This record gives sequence, C-alpha cells and structure tokens, in this order.
Amino acid sequence: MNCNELNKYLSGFLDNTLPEKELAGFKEHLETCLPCIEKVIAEKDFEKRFKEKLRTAVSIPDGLKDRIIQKIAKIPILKIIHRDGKEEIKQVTEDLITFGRSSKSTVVLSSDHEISRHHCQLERVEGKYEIVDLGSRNGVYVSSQGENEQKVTQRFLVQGDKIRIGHTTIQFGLSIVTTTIKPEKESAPATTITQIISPTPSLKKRKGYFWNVVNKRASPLSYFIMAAGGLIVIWIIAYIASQNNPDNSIPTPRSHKSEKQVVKLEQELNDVYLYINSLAQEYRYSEAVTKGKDFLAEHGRELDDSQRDYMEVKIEFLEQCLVKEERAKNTLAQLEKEIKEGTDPNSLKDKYEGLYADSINTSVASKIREKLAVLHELTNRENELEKTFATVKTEALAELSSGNYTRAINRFSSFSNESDSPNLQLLVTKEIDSINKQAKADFDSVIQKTHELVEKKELEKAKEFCLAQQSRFKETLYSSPLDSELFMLNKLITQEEGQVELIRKSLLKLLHESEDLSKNYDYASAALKVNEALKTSQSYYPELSRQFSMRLTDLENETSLFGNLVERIKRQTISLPRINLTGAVLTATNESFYVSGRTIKWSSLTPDELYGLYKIIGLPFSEAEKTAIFCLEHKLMDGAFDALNIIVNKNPNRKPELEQLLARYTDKKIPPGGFVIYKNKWLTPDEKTALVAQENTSALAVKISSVSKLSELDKICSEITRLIQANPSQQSELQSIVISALREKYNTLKKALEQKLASVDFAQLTLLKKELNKKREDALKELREGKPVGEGSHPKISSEMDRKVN
Amino acid sequence: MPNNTFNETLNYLNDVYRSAYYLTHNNNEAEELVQEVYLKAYATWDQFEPGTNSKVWIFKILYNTHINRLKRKGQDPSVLSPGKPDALPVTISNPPTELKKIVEELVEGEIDKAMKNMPAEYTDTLILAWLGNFSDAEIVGILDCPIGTVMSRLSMARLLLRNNLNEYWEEKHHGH
Repeated sequence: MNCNELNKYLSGFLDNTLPEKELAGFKEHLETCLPCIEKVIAEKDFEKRFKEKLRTAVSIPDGLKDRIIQKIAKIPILKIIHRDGKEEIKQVTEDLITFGRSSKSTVVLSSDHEISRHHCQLERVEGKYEIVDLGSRNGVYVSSQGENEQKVTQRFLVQGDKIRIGHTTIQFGLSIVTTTIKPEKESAPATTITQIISPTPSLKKRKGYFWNVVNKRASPLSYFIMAAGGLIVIWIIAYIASQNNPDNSIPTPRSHKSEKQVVKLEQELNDVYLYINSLAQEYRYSEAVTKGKDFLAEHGRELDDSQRDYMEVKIEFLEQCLVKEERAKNTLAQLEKEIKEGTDPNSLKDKYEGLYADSINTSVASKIREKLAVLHELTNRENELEKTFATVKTEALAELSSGNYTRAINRFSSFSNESDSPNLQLLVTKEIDSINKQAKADFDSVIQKTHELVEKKELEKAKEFCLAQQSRFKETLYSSPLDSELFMLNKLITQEEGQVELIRKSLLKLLHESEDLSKNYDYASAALKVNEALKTSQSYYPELSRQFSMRLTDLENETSLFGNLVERIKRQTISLPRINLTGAVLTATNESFYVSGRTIKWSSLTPDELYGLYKIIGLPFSEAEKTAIFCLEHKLMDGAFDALNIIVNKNPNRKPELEQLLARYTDKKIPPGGFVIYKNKWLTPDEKTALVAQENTSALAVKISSVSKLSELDKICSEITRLIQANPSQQSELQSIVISALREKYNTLKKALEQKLASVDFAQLTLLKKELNKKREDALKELREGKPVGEGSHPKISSEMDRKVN
Repeated sequence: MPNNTFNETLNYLNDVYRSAYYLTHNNNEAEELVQEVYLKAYATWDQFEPGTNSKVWIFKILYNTHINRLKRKGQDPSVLSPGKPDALPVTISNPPTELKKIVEELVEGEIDKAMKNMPAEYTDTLILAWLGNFSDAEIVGILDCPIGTVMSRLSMARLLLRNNLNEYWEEKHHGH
C-alpha cells in the first residue's frame, strides 16, 4: 500500500470497516510512513474534537429532566389482572380509555364474557381520573384501600383503587406527582411504594402465583415480566420520590392488620427478595443465591412453610439461572471464537440458535442473541447477494465467451457497487482479476495482429482493428496499453499520410510527364516514367499502382502499334531521300491505321502527329522544319524563308538538305553554288542580281519624285538607263518601276500646271497643250523604243516646258 | 429490570436531547421531541425486552418518533434532506495541521449547518455513531437497516462532513 492508497482506505480504517487484508496493508504502511501516521492521528484527533464539538455545541435546556419527569409522573398506571391471572400494565397516556369486549375499546377484554362490549371508561377530568360505567350489564365495582368494593356508575379514582369488571381486576396507580410519597420509614421505602401502586399481595397469594409459574414451567420471560411488572413502578416512584415534590404528597395508606413481628419478618423477606431480584437483574446470580441461602439459614425457622417455599423456589430458580449463565458464557466464548476464526455465518447460526434459545434469561444470552442477529442479518444479506452474484457471474461469463471483457467486468463492478459485503467484493475482485488474466492472451494476440498489419503498411486497417477491439478491453488492465497503441498508430498514420501525400503528388507528376511524353510519341521515356511511378506506388499507394500498371499496359500497346506502324513507314520510305519523308508518309500510307484505340487516316494526321512520327523515325525535326514545310506547302515564302534561316543558323550543314526541300516545293533549280541567302531570302544568283537591280532602280525612282529641275531628272534617268542596260533580263521590270515613278511625277507636275493654267488664255493653252502632249509622247516613244535618250531632246523638252510654263 | 432501564434512559437524556437537536435543528422542537420520546418510552416500557440495550431502545424510539413527527407535519422524511450529492469526495486529503485548525475554529452554527447540509440518512447515522457512540450493530438495531448500509453511510457521512467543513473554512479564509 502506498500513501495514495492509504488515503483511499483511511475512511474505512477510521470507521473500522476495513477488510483484514487491507487493514494489514494499512498498518504495514503506517509503520514505515511518518506523514501517514500523522495523517491518521490528525484524523482521529479530528474525529475526537468534532465529537466533542458536537456535544458542546448543543446546550441542554435548564430543567429539561424535571419537566420530563413531571410529565411522566402524571401518567397513571393501570395493572390489569385478567381472569386467567395474566397481568398487563398500561400507562394512561390518553385522556380517555375505554374498556370492553369490543375491538374498538382501548383496552380490549374479549375473553371475559361477564364484560359488556362497551363496559366502562376512564376519563381524565381536570387532572383527575374518573371511572364511568357505560351502561354495562354486570356493572363496575371499585374498592379503595381497606374498603369493601362498591358498585359505582361514576367515581373519581384515588391511588390504589381496584376496579373490578366481570372477572377482571384493574388496579389504578394514579398520578405519581399528585401522590408522590414520602416514605414513612426511610429504611423501607420500596415496600411503602409497592403498597401504593400495587399493594403487596399476601404471601400466600404470591406463593400461589409462583407455584403456578414454576409448575407450569412458564418461560423465564413471563417470570421476568411478572417480576418486573411491579418493580418498574416501584422504581419510578422511588425515583420521583427522590426528586421531592412534597406539595403533592398524600399519606400512604397502610395495612395494619399484621402483628408487628410478623410484619417485620415479612418486610425483611420482602427486602431480601427484592434485593435478590435486583442482583438477579444484574446477573449476579451466585450472590443472589448466597444471599437467599443466608436469609433462609438465619430466618428459615421463623418463616412459615409458604414463606420458606417462596424463598426456596426463588433460590432454586436462581441456581438454574446460574447454571445457564455459565453454560451461556461458554457458548458465547465459543461463538466469539468461531466468529473470529471466520466460520461460515450460516453454520454458526444453525449451531447456536438453539443454545441461545436455551439461555435466554441471561446477559450473555442476550449478547449471543445480538451476535446471532448480526450474523442473521449478514447471512441473509450474504445469501441474497450470493444468489445475485451467481446470476451476475453467469451473465458475465456469457459476455466473456463473446470476448467482451468490458461488459463482463462492468457486470461485476456494478454488482460490487450494489453489494456491501466485503467477502463478495473480494470475490468480485478475484473474478475481475481472472477476467484480466483471460484478457491478456487475447490482448497479446490483438497487439500482434495490429503489428502484423502495421508491418504490411496497412495502418488504417490496423487502426480500425484496434478501435474495434477497444470497447472489449475498456475496463481491463489493457485498456491504456491499447490506447497507447492506438496513439502510436495514429501518429504513424499521420506521418505516413504526409509521406503518402508527397509520394502521391510525385506519382501524379510522373504520370503527367509520361502523358506529355506519349503525346509527343516518346513512348520509351513515357514508359520509363510510368515504370518509376509504378515501383514507388507499389509500396505506398496500391490504388495508384494499379492505375500505373494499367497506364503502362496502354503505353506498351500504343508503343507496339506505333512501332509496327513506324516499321511499315520505314519500309516504305527507306528508298526515298529523307527529305521526301512527308511525301512518302502521305503517299505510302494513304490508308487507315490503329493507334491507341483510334482508327486514323494518315492523311488526317496533324503536324504534331507527323512530328511524332519523324521523331520516332529518327529525323532531326523541329518546329522550324515543320513551319518551313507548312509555309512551303502553302507558298508562304517569307515564312518559309524565316524557318529555313532559323534551321541553317543553327546548323549550316543542313543547308543542302533544305535547299532540296525548297527546290522541291518551288520548282526552282538549285544553282551550282547553292542558293544565295540575301536579305533572308533564298535566291539563285540571278534572282539576287535581279533583285539588287530592282532595288537600285526603285531607289532611283524614289528620287524622281523629289526632282525639281529637269537636269536632275536627266541625271537620274541616265543612271536608270545604265541599270537597265546592265540587266537586260530585268528590263521590263526596271522600266515599269521608272515609268510608274515618272507617271507619278508627271501627275504632280500636271496638277501644278493646271493650277497655273487656270488663269491662262484657254485657246493659247490648248495649242500649247497639244504641242506639249505631242512632245511628251515623242519622248515617251523614244524611251519605249529603247533608244538612248538624247541629251538634247530632254533638255529641249524641259527647257521648252520651262519656258512655256513661265 | 425495566425500572432500571427507565432510569438508564434518563441518564441518556442529554445525548438524546443533543441528537434531537441535530435532527430538528431547533431548540423548541428538540425539547418537544425529547418529551414525546420519554413519554412514549415510559408508556411502552413493558415492550422493552429485558437483556437488550436500553440506550439502543430509547434512541430507536427517538428516531421513530422523529420520523412520525415529520410525517405528522406533512413532511416526507425522505425528501427533507438536500439529497445525495452528485459527486462525492473519494478521499480525505487535508494536511494534518489544517485539519486541526478547521475543527478548532468551528462555531456552533457551523456544526449544525455541516450536519444539516448532508442527506438526512447520513446525519442520522453519524449522530448515532459519533454522538451516541453506538456500535455499527447497535445502529443497525436503531435504524432498522442492513449493517453494510450503516458502514457505507458512516464513511460517506465522514467525507461529506469533511467536505462541508472545508467549504466553511475556505469561505472564512479565502472567501468574503
């Protein structure tokens, strides 16, 4: 036991209710732990002090005892002596007591047929008691001390009055307070009082009664009641007497019939008898017997027979009591011993029940009885609990067989909460222990299985499994180990989830990459990616791994289909120059084929797809090449040239190859030195020359527009003429350039002229115009005929024009 | 014997009165109750079994009378008390020195309050054990309930009492 447990048991220890095992543990701990000793002492001290406080906190009202005694003292006592001699004592606490055979009567006297159903009543009137005949058939008779009885219909009673109705006598011992007695002789107060309440019967009478009792072998109890009957009253009065209330005292009526000596002896006998009785009440039987025998030895001869018998019988009875007392003492000792030894309460009960009945009259017997009563209580409770326990156990075993330890334990512990028997609680503890033991193997296997699942990386499954088991082990010792197992699992799962998430992301990335690759017909790389993804996913992400393996199969199919296709293309294109591949593809495969679940016509292949094909076949084929082909196909020469230039800039060695391509699409012949690249354009040398000439011409032509003097124009024209002469093949183009420039210039001049002419004489102008037109046409004619433009002619025209215009 | 018994019962008067006080929490009622108890005891002394404990007897009358008085007043004895507390303290944990002070500083009102402030059956049992100095078996005889119940009530009463006292202590020293 440790300090905490000690706390738990402290209350039980203080209440003295600890089972032995715990008590031993408790004491053992106390011996070694000073703080706990202090604690226990403090608790004991607390209890002591609190008890004291409980006591001192309530002050007893002054005169409480007196008030109570006065109340009690006002209660009259009736001693009802039945027809068969049975006596009954009744305190008159009510204001009205009725007597009669009727069951409604306060005092029911059903066995006495001389009594009417409602015979009489005793009524309290202003503190006095009055007997009233209720119209009985046989009447009510009252006799006061020393008087003969008189029939009455109504009469106030005084102390010692005897009422007779039918065969029943009722002695009235009225209010002690009003009749509180001062004993005449201090030496014999008891006798005096006895006379008042219950006048001593003559010894003969007494003897008769006693013989009766003895002969009938009446139970000791009835003897006791009889003996006690008088005595309690005696005591009360004696007690009250000692309280002194002289105002209410009345003279004691006394009988003076006997002779002095006889009276004295009788009194002595009475005294001794009472003394013996009081000894007997204190179970001092041997003293009582000695006292009785001493008295007999001293006064035996003076007593008459009946008196001697009276005492002898008493002594005989007391001797019997003594024997029983001894026997009971032994029995009690034996019983206590057996209880201590922990003998089964049931068997103890059976064994001692009879013995206790035999010795009822003794103090020890009462102790035995007390003990047996407790035993009885215990065994009853225990039996009941045991029955419940058996049921509980069956239920718990059923739960156990289904593997639910929690419910099994709960069943027991709820029972244990209900029961307060330490024994059964011990049993319950044992049962729970054994359940725990049974649970152990099961628990071990649960843990093992969990670990297996963990090793298989099936963490979620492991967690589910553990959770499912949790309810079964909740109340067992393995509840918290299971909890920690779950905790670890959750931790693992969180970690794993993080990892898996990362992996999943990387896997998906691989998948996308592979998709991109396969879009570009790079099946090999795509397959590599998928394979990589598949490997990682197999250990971490089985679902994805399936997806990957499916993807891989698809890829393989696609690849092999594509491979076949490519093979076919290769076969068909092998003899063709590489550059003719597209054409070869287009012509050789003008049929449908099957790729990735699609039926495709070659002719419908997009440039992308074609590019893929080229890639597979092994041609270095780029975006630029694709563009070039596209532009060439559509005669978009600027775009084509741009693309070609890009390719050549990257790899000048490919120029011949590209020249072939260009030639093929443009029907140009490749010049002996290859195409000249001039200003982005791929040209034959001739083309280049022509282009240069055109450009030069155009440059000159531009100048024409800004000419302001004819001399300048002549100069330009001569240059143009030289150019045209240098490029005869370009003549017409060059001429057209010049002509358009001249036409433009002309139009400008014409406009200016027309503006000037607006103010000029129209007829004159018409002539001039005709002339000019003729001359211009001549000049143009000369130009058209290719005759060198005469220096004279132009200036002639010019000067003439200048003049005219001016 | 019975006369002696009655004499004895008067010897217990002070304890009976104190118990009555803790049962009724009122001086007048306590006295009325005690008077009724003694009248009843006197009126029924012939039913007293010789050889049994007269103190047990008078206290049994006290408890029965008390319950009858409550019933007469129209109070159901079982609903009088604050009822079983929901959460009961499990252990006693005051440090020894504090405990001593707690008791020392208790004033009269607090004691009655502490006794009043727990379910009646616990108060009853505690009164018998601590004020009446009765054994468990004797309490069984008085309250007419199984011994296990007496034992558990006692230990619970102790805990509740300690709880109540602690509360007063807390209020006094750390409260207002």
